[in-house]
Amino acid sequence: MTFLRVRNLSYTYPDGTVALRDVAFEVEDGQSVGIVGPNGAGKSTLLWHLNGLLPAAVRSPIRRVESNDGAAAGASGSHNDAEVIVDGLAVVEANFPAIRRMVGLLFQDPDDQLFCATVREDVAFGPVNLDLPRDEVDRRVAQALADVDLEGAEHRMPQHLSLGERKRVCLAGVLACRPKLLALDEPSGNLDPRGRRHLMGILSQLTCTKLIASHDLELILELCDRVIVLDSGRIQALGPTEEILGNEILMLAHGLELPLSLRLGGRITPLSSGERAG
Amino acid sequence: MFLAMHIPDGFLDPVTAAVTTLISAAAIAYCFVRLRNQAGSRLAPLVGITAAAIFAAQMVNFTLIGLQTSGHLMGGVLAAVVLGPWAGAVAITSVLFVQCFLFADGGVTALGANVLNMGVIGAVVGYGVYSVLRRLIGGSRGAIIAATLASWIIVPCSALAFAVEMAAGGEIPLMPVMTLMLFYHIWIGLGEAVLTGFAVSWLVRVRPDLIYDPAAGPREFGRTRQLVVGGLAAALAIVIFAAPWASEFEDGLEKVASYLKFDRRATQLAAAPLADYTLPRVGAEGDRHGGWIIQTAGVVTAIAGTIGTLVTLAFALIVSSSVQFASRRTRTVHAS
Amino acid sequence: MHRDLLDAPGQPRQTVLLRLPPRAKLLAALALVSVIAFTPPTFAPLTPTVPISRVHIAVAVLLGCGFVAGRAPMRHVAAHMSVVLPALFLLALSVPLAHGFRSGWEMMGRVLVKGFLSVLAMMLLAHTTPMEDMLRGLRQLGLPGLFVLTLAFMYRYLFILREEMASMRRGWQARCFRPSRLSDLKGAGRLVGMLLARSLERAERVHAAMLARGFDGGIKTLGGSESGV
Repeated sequence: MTFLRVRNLSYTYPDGTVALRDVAFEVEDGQSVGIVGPNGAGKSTLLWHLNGLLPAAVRSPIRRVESNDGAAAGASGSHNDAEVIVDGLAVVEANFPAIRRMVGLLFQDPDDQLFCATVREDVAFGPVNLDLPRDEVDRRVAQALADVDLEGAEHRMPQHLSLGERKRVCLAGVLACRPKLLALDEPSGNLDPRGRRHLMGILSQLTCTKLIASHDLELILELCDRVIVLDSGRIQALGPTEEILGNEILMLAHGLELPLSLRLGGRITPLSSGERAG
Repeated sequence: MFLAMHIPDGFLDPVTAAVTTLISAAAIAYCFVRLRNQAGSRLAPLVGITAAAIFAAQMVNFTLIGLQTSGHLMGGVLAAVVLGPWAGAVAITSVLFVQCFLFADGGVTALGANVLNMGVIGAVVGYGVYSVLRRLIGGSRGAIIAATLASWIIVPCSALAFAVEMAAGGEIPLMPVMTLMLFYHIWIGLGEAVLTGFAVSWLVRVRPDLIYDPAAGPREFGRTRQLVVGGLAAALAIVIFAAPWASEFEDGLEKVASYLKFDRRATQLAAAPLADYTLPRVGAEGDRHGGWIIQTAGVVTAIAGTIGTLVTLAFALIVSSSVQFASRRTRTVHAS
Repeated sequence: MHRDLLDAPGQPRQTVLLRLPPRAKLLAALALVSVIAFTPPTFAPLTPTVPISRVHIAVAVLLGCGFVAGRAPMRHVAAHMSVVLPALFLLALSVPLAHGFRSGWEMMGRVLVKGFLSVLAMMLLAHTTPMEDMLRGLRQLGLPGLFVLTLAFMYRYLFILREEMASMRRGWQARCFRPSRLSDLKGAGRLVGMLLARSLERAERVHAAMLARGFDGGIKTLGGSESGV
């Protein structure tokens, strides 16, 4: 059953840069789909469309200023016939509250997302905003922290956590909302090998539909059934993971490369839960 | 040593503390009212994070030319340039709160006065001066020059308010403490102006879209208010620069002793060599003492004030002219 | 000035003082500081000639007990003091300069005593009250929720931005070959501008993160033990 459908999605930034061109794809319920591509391909932009953060809700959303030779502030936003449908609901302003309950977005920089004073407050942020009763909030917080192997961390403060721990707290904060679709933006970015293994172990246990944008091709290979190659805002290829990532010509043409494990010709064995704790 | 404008506890009398607290509470409440219609749900992170940035920027200290002391950026005008007057005032107030409760920098009984001096005068009046000047000068350079001059003007204004608050208790005479405050803060104002000028110039060059644009929202200052603010600033400028020459000032100097202090008996003996320098007798004490230290300070203040304005103006013109502008650009940030 | 103070020793010690309700602690601190600041030293002086009020002596003793009970890290407090006191002293110097040296020194002494004790009181509060409790207490005392939320954000990002500032500064210093006073100020100005720009962009992303988890502008609290975020 189709859970996510995207059609005719194009997006132009206010300064005229075209970020997405006619993106269209579908994701089945429970699938894990990876999104790979060079820098500037539009991966984050695409994810931000899934819960309505783009086109309108925020001003200048994502990092790094790039130079531009000033086109005047032209038309920005998506095409009129763009379609993003999550579990039957169109991603339009009227549906934002419901959509944002269904779509959990994990940001690239955990410090952008971990904005409360303590872990508990931050993980509880979602459930509190869902107007859940107090005991349900507490239950969800405890469950979410357990899911990311951070039981008992409720009273710790973000500035005392390592990067890996912060990423996991952010994941807990998203999981506490019980999303049906998890959209992850560079989940393993800057993590040390142990942190990365830990996170991958946690992700592999989650059964919800997943969309993972990442440079970490090994992670994509391990966690995703299908993969989308995005370059210059356009979908260049779409298909089963090993087939796409194993296509060397395709990879090189779009600023990527063969994942090491495929180059060596072996297969990856997924982490067992015993190895998760690192 | 740091020169900062945070009034500690113990300098203000209860009435002044209460009055300034009421005034600043009302003023900040007004800021919130004005903000309610504008930024919406992004207000708290926007103002809070900018306040954190101002606080972090205050780490940057600069050595005052010629003095063995350093000051740091106050940031009122800078906050207002980026956030607008109301949010800017709230940002500075946040900084003051955190400094007071977390770092014991600035007294809690003096919080009202500090918010008044640095938040209300610093950010709101500062924005008023900035916006008037910006409109007068016009163009992209207007923002830089206006921000520089406004920072330069506002620091002594805050210092004046500081002096008035200290003197309001009746124990410290107004004129001498005003001279002292102005003397120090005219120097600090220079540093603040230069830093603000460079910061705004960078913003104008690289991220002009981040500078608060009143056109996007309701007009902040109508014509009457512009005149009022302009007039106020002019009046203050006159006070700052002309005060040392006012005769009242000399009366005030009477109360200021130099370090050559004498008690009554010694005065008779020692007075003679100083006779050429003493000022006319005032007051019951009848102290004769050389007020020339403070008198010199007063003169230096006036000269420094005048030169400072010219230097600041020249600096602002130079910095702004070195910035190159194409047609007005808006910049956005891109995803990877 | 505060860069060293931000390296505070982690959590406050687990003591009775820590567990007191923050609203009570804030009110107590406020009351104490008011007493310190507004008691004229001529009120109940220690001896007729020594212009120190017995009230101030009592407060000093009380604060001493507080520091012991709160097990405040005295080395850190001393370091904090060494930063705050010179500024206090300098400002206090303006009193004799303005007032006249004859009576000015005495007044300066009074002001110094008041200032010193007040700072001690606030430091005791800061060392026995973690920020989230402090914010909750402020909220309970009537500060508007939006303002408390702003303070919470400021506190959360203080450390991050300070690190960013420090690393930008290091990057600049590494490439600054001929430091002169003006280039010093120019570089500093640019750093401030850059920090502001980055902070504003970050604020947008944080806002987006809030929206993504259902925030709609209404400030909702967990109730009980949270600071109102």
